[in-house]
Parts: sequence; structure tokens; C-alpha cells
Amino acid sequence: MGKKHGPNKLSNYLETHETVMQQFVSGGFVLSNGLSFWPYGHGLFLITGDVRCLGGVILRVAKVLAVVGGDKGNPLVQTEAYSYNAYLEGIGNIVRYDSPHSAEHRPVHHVHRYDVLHDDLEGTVEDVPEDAWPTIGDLLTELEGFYYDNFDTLSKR
Amino acid sequence: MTHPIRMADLQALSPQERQKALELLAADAVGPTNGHALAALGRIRDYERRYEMTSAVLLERLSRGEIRETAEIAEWLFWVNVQRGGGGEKARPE
Repeated sequence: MGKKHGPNKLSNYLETHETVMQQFVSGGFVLSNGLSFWPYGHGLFLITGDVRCLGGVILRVAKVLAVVGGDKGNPLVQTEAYSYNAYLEGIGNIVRYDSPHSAEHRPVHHVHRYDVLHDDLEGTVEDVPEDAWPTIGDLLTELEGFYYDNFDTLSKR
Repeated sequence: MTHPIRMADLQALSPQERQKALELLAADAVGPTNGHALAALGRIRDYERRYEMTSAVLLERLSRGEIRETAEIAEWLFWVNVQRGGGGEKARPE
């Protein structure tokens, strides 16, 4: 099992996030980064907001980082929960990755996929192996692929 | 209570400003829940009013397969889990 989602210093986590986002901005796929970072209390940080991309693709992020140790001013943090929903503005959902919801309903990481360009409103759901769920950067890479795979349709939006 | 910070704005801060901002955010994060937690609770109450059911009923109906998990319901579940202290079954690898 890899350490992809292991604990990281808050400063490192944010720097990595900024570097990745900047790469997508420089590459032209991300048009604006509307994510906000805020302290919730009880050892939690939240990241929420929308990332607007080419072709009307919008990634809505809701993510919890938990303080798991480290220095007071620069704690170790680790993702506790997330919901990454990517959709085509005015059309429908493309893909949504969610952390486990509850013991009774989808207790494992999972992904909902929709054939959004063919009116698929219900989609399919697959489990995602532990620690194989994507970072925001991984999902932006996936969405960029979706955009270029459907360039003829999406570039007109 | 520290205001949310736009992640795109962090880059514009000097190293000193950035360190100060992170220290303030970290101090608030490890303190008691604050006004942001009340805002999160307000979101949950909005969903409950709009769907005319409590979050507990939502969870029961989802587990019985009576409701489909839409993007909006996934957001609702996210906020319920935040209010309960973080993650549903935890995203962290063991």
C-alpha cells in the first residue's frame, strides 16, 4: 500500500496543492481556482469551492483535513473525508469521487461515473480501493483527458 | 475566528505573511468549533428543510435503497459527517 494520502505538514500540503493547481492554470485547463481553506475547529480544516475548467467543466470540492500531530503552527494533516463532484455546467455530472459515507450506506471509497454527453442521469457506481482514490490533481488530470477526448463537443461551449 | 482564505491568494503572500496566516488557521483548527461549524450546521438544516426529512431519515432511506445518492445528497452526507467529527468511515488509510 502506498503513502499517497499519508500525513503531511500543512505547509507542504498547501505548497503541493498550489504547485499542482498552477500547472493546470499555466497549461490552460484550469480557468479559476475558487477553493477556500478554513479552520473548522476540533482539529479539522475544510477545503471547499469550485475549480472552473475549459469546456464548462466544473470541479466542486468538499474536503476535510484532520490534524494528526506535528507542530502547533504547522501541524501534520491528513485527509479525513472528501467529495469531488465534476460536472458540465448546465448539462450534468461527469464523475464524483466520495469517501465512505456511513457504515450503512457506501462504507468504502467509491466513484460515480456518468455518460454525461449521452443524457446519462443515473450513472454507475464502483468501489475504489483503499488509498487509490484521487488527489484533486489526479482528478483534474482525468477531467483534462475527458475534455480533450470530447474536444469537438466541449470546445464549442 | 479566522476567515477562510482563498487558496489562490496564498501564493501572493510573503513568506512571513504566509507563516502568520498558517499559524492563525492552525490555532483556530485545533480550538473548539467556531462560527464556521455553525455555518456547516446551517447547510444541513437547509437540506433537511428542502428535502423535508432529517439527516437521520436520509441515512435510513439511503441504506434501504429508497433514495438515490445524487451529487446534492452526497454534499449533504459530507456535511453530516463533518458535523459528526470528520469522516464517515474515515478516508485515512489504516
